[in-house]
Amino acid sequence: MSDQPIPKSSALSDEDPAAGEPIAELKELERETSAFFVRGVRKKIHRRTTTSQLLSFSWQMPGMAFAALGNMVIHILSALTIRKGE
Amino acid sequence: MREGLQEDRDDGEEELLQKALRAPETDLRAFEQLILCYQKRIVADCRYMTRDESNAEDLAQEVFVKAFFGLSGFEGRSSFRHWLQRIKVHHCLNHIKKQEGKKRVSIDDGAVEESEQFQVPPTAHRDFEAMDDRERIAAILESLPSTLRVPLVMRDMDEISYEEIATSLHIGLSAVKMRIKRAREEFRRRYASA
Repeated sequence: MSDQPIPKSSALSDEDPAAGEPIAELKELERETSAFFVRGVRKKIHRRTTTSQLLSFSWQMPGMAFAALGNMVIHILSALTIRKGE
Repeated sequence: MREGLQEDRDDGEEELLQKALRAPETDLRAFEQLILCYQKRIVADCRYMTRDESNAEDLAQEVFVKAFFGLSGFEGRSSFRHWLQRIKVHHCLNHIKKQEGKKRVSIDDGAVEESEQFQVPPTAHRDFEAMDDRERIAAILESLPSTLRVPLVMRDMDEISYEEIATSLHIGLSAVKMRIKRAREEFRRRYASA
């Protein structure tokens, strides 16, 4: 989400005279939230973080396995070369 | 006096924002304080923009989740409040599109205004007298058709510019001005007759 400054040109400019009562009351309009609101946000953030970590791990996993396999092959080959030299 | 209080509040929020920006991803304390500052407002916005009582809190929570993950991209060129409101507007508009796609109507369709489902039930006015002023305003807002309510909420609740409303709703600037003018007139008329 970009955070370009919002043009204030029309924020209560000449072409938009103050809306006056009762429209002005809309600015103050709020609604009570449940006691679990923040906890719900926290849960959703954790859930999304865990999902993205699992996804990135599942992407990295084949590469890691391939690298480990490559290392093993290199070790075996170098051990064989040493033995041949002896 | 009120301006002084507003400045104190802005300073406090700025400090919280800086803390939230500096905090590691696992530390949500500062961000949770920001949620506490804005939750009532965002829930109200979601509620009146979508007219979806059952999903308003859920939508508001998703707005905060999006804000949390987008926080690193926030450069401070607009205020945090405006930035949050823009996330909310896009999220709610997507929700409305999904919902109205299911009903096969669009908020941009002028014919919708004439549609029966967007008309105020005749009994709605009767209950206004029993409500306090804030409740009455909320009820009138809710009774407006989507074509008028959404631009009105964006303009008069969120203080978003006409240009940005036009861009968000994919309609012309003159159409936005016309809808807001009509929405205000209709709002005043219903308020006076309530």
